[in-house]
Amino acid sequence: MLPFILRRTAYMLVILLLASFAVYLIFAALPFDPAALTCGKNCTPQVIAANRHRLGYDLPLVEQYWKFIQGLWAGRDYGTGQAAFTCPAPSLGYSFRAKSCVTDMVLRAFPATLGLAIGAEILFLTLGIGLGVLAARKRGKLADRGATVFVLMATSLPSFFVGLLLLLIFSIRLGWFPNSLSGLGFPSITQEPWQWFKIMVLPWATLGLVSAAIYTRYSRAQVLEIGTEDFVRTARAKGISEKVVLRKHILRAALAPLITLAALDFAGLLGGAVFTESIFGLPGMGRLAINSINNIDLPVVTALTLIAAAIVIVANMVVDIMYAVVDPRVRNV
Amino acid sequence: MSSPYLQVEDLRVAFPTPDGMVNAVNGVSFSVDKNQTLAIVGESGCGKSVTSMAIMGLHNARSAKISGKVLVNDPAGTVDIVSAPEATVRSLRGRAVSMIFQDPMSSLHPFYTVGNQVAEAYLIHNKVSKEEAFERAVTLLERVGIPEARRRASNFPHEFSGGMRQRAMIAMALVNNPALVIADEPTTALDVTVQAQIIGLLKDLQQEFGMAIIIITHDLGVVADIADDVAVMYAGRVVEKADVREVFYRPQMPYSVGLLSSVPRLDGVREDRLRTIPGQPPSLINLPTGCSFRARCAHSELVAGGACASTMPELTDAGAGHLVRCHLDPATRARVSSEALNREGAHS
Repeated sequence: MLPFILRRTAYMLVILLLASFAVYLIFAALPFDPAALTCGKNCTPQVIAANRHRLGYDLPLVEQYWKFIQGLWAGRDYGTGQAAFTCPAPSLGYSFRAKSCVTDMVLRAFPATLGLAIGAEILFLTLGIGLGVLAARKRGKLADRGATVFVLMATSLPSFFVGLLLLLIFSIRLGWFPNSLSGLGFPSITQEPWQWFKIMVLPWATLGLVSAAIYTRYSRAQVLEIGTEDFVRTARAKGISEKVVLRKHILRAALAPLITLAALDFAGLLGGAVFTESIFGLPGMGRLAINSINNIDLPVVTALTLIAAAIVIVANMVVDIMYAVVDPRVRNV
Repeated sequence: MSSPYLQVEDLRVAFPTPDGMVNAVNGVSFSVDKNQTLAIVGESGCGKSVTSMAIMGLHNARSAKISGKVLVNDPAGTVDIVSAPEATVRSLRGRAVSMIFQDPMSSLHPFYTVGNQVAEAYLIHNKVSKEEAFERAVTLLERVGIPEARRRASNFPHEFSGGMRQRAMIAMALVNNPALVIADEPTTALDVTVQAQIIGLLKDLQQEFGMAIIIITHDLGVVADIADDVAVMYAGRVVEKADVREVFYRPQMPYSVGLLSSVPRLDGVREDRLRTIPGQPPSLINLPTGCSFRARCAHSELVAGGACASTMPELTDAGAGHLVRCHLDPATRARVSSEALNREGAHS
């Protein structure tokens, strides 16, 4: 098992390097001059040149990339003398627009996104798989039909629509849940956990409802398919009760493939749920990405893209390892 | 004299489908006692496996309509599998009546170790600890001839060869010392060399444990090797049933004759082609009136009054418990049979 993990980690690092370079190249090819974006209307060529030098945009591309990579473990100093400033390691660059190190901006945005992702994941896994298994067991009956209707509705409604609907009904009309649009800001989970929880309910529900449908459909199909396998017949022939057959023999095999889906969905959420965060005003990675794109804040956009890529790559590795844990046939491969 | 361990009486199994009722089993009766082996033979779709699943009570009540009786003479009292509540049937399943399936690869759970799966079968029906159940599993795995059984018990099915997997399946079936084992084509998925070993193992185990065996197969070599009695099935009915020697040497129903004469032989006249039975079995949705084998039978014109087309022949005793379902008179049957088998004046 350990060599397997080490090998996967090595692959992962190589892929991360390649991905980061690709992202760097793409952003360098954009028709924006990052130095020109650092000063406003009353700009002089001298200021632009000074900023260009200070932020390192005058260096050759490969050198710029190397400085970026170096910054990840060594931190990075910008300029010299009085105007100098430092982004400590791990440095993801400096946003001239926000007058802040990118790492700090990401760290400020991450908790909201992480909270959203964990809650949403728990909700759509339990709701989705629970409903899927129920539908499979009650195939053709009312519960199954209900699940089918749910799947159809949830897959055809986009998350921004569901989000707006929930916001309108439960927050604005009924006032059951607060929203962070009211100007009160976003509460911290450590200081006001209850307030935080109430604000998160609707975003969780939005992502949970929309994503659960895929899990319902997939787990229903899986349970029905695995239910016809010979080894399930063997289990019944042993005299095992139907409940245990389902729990021990069907579900384990049926839900193993869902690991991939669940981990990649989680990775996607960690990268930032752009629509949901924007609708509910959550100060997370998705909203940071939207704001940075609107402001053409290239260092932040670059960093967020890289982080999203890194999360997906790590998630893939986690999937491989979890698969090996669940399915003995995958071990020693 | 006590009644036999398993008695199947007028078993009927039908599956409702959008095209109509599929009458898979149409009034099958037979019995098996401990230490006895009954072979059920017939081509694909004749109802062999459906019958065995009905004996195990494994048909889904929602998709199968079952009638008749499957009486299991359990020491705790006779149980009719067809009408008994699910909990009663489940307490027999795997304990008193167990089953060995055709494909040991797909019949073992890929995610659990072999020892675990054998132990599970023991654990369900016995109040023992997991460790004790595992010990029992190791004992059984050893008994069915798995080398280094203790170490191999913690292997997964994919780490076993086909023959070893089938041995493990047999260990699982025998772990509770059942009174009846149903083996549904236990050798079909195995190499020829392994097939004989598995059949030999089953015979040894029967000597040791004294259980009744129902073996379902279309391999007549296996039948000759292991069976005491043979029931030939066609289109969901038993068409001939007798002692194994009777069926092999004096088959009387034209279908059984056809089955036997399609076995390639090393003695006698060399033929260029293997013999076959022409035609297809009838659709089980609209079974024809009269004899279901009529359309493929070369001898129906020998029966007076077109009885083959109008009435289904009854399963009647042709002497010494040799049951035959055929309108032909005994003398004609004997002639037809010996001609087909190239055995003029066959003796047992």
